[in-house]
Amino acid sequence: MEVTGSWDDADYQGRPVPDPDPLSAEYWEAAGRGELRYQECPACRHRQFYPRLVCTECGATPEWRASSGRGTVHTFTVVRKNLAPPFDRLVPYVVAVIELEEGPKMLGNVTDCNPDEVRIGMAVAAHAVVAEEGIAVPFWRPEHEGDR
Amino acid sequence: VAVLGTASAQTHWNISMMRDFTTTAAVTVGRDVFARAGLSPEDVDVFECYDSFTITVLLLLEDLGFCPKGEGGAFAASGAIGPGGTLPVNTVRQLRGTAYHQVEGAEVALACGVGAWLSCIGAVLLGMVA
Repeated sequence: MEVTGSWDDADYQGRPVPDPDPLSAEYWEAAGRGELRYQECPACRHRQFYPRLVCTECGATPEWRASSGRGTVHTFTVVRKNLAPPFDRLVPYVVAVIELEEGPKMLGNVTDCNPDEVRIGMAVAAHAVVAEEGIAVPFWRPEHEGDR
Repeated sequence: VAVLGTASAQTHWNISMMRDFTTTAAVTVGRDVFARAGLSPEDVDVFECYDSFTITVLLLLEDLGFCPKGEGGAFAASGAIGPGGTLPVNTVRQLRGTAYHQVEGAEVALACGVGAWLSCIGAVLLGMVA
């Protein structure tokens, strides 16, 4: 996952900074290093996101795994009106559920494209934007032929 | 007014974990609440539901069994959920007979709430005590 910018950039300025807890800190800090993480259960192999203390299928303690950072748009909406800063100046923007190549689904924004061109099933790749030192937030952008 | 049956269910928390974005826990809730009351969707005179977004109402109408899956939009557009329809929705306070938009002869009502991101759903069937 390429680190492409920071909260200092115009498109990201003023966004809330993640507030890691003991469990999610590993996810945010991994993203800060350009690694997108999800959890896998060593007992039953169930993969899950967001991070939890237990496997939602069998209750065992899950382990962290690194994702390829590639996925597809499972579903999405285009937000055209938002009165809350800083999102009021970012409309229209895409909120999507991304299905990772590895299976788990994540919520995120699809950036770097015309919102009207986003489609279900579209191939996307994660990129990381640094929110504060050591912490980044994954975003998604269309993956074009030859990007891999 | 008596409680005829109740049911609740949860399928996920964050919406990204929803297995099927157009099927909710109301499938389980509808099955259970009607079984407990010994009634079926046809017995319901008025439906009072959480209407956070357009799709919330459509999914509840389908999943609770008021119309087939995928036909919520057509069901609503037909006028069925309006005053004078077969299932007036959100006309409120019907069973005591004191509603501003009183539905004539309303005896059985289904109330249904939805929490979080279509995550947890609860329903109560209410009926007039003779």
